[in-house]
Amino acid sequence: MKKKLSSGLLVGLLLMAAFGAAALVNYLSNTITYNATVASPITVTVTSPADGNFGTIYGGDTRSVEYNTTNHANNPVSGRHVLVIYGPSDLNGTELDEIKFTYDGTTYTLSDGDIVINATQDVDEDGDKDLIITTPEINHAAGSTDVATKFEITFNAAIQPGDYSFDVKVVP
Amino acid sequence: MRRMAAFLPLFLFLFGSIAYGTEIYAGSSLFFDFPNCVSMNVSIICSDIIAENEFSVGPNCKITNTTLHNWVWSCNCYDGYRLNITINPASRNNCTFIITYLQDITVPEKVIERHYSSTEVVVHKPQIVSNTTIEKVIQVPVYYENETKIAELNETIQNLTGQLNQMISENEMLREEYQSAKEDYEELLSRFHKLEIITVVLLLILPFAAHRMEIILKRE
Repeated sequence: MKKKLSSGLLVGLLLMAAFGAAALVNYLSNTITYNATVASPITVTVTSPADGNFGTIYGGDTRSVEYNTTNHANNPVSGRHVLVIYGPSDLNGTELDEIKFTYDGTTYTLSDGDIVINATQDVDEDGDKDLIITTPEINHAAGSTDVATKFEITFNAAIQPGDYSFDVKVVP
Repeated sequence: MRRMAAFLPLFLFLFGSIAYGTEIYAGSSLFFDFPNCVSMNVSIICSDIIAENEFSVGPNCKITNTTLHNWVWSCNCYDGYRLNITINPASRNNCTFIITYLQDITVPEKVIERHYSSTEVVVHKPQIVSNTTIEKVIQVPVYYENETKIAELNETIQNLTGQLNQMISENEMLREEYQSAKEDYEELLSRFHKLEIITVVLLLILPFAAHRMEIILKRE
């Protein structure tokens, strides 16, 4: 009798286990693998001067850097535009009288305190300090393409004439 | 079932994994839609150290593990869940996003109702006086539309049938053992009864035998 009960219990347990296992069939485990290289969201295409050189600058000259800005991300991205000016010798910021920055029709100026000049780094490591000009945070709309952007720089009349060049980028 | 479990990793590798590869821009959001989602884990593995807030994963996700190059989120997903992975605009990295999820694949049961109509002619002699249409609704047993599900169900049925047959044969063996033990028991019982009778007889004979022995000894 005892044996009968034990075998009955065993059969019951096995059946329960079998039905439990069968219930698991209703779920499918799956995996998605996505490999990606994360790139800078904002690209800059310089249109003028396209070669990144101002050429010879004379005291009192006003030069422009014009470029198109594209935000490739599908979200708005905030970032500062950074213009680095390389000179013929050490630069300290007094070489520039005024800077105007225009993005998508809005203008910011050095005289209004919107733009900051940093003259403490030798970015191109040529032994001379360079000028790092930074704008306020600019909001780049999601997917905005080829937005006209411009730096307009007025050099101080007292500077020694020389060859100047530049780099421009956007730092999110 | 055990065999299925053994092949599960291979199955997942061959059929379950969908690999994408592309360049994405920082600041972007990646969206993945999951119907019938039950649970989900998101693991992001990058070649460079993953910075704080470099990735935002949601909704209903919380970070469960972080190492220098691997962050893991666990998400409470649901049917129609849309996973959103947003990359910080300052991020520059090479990453692999591994999304492991459990999906409920229960096939909705569909009851097919077939309407049969038959014309029953009631004949009253000597002429037909009525022509009635009787509509019967016959419920056909539930069936599944999904062929994969049917295959899985067939396999489950076969497994269960195998297990049931095994249990039946085990049951037969146990029954035979029981029968054999019962026979042994009955034989032992019968021997015991015989011994019992012999013992009683001996007990009855013993006083007379002792008395007889005493008489014999006295005579001598």
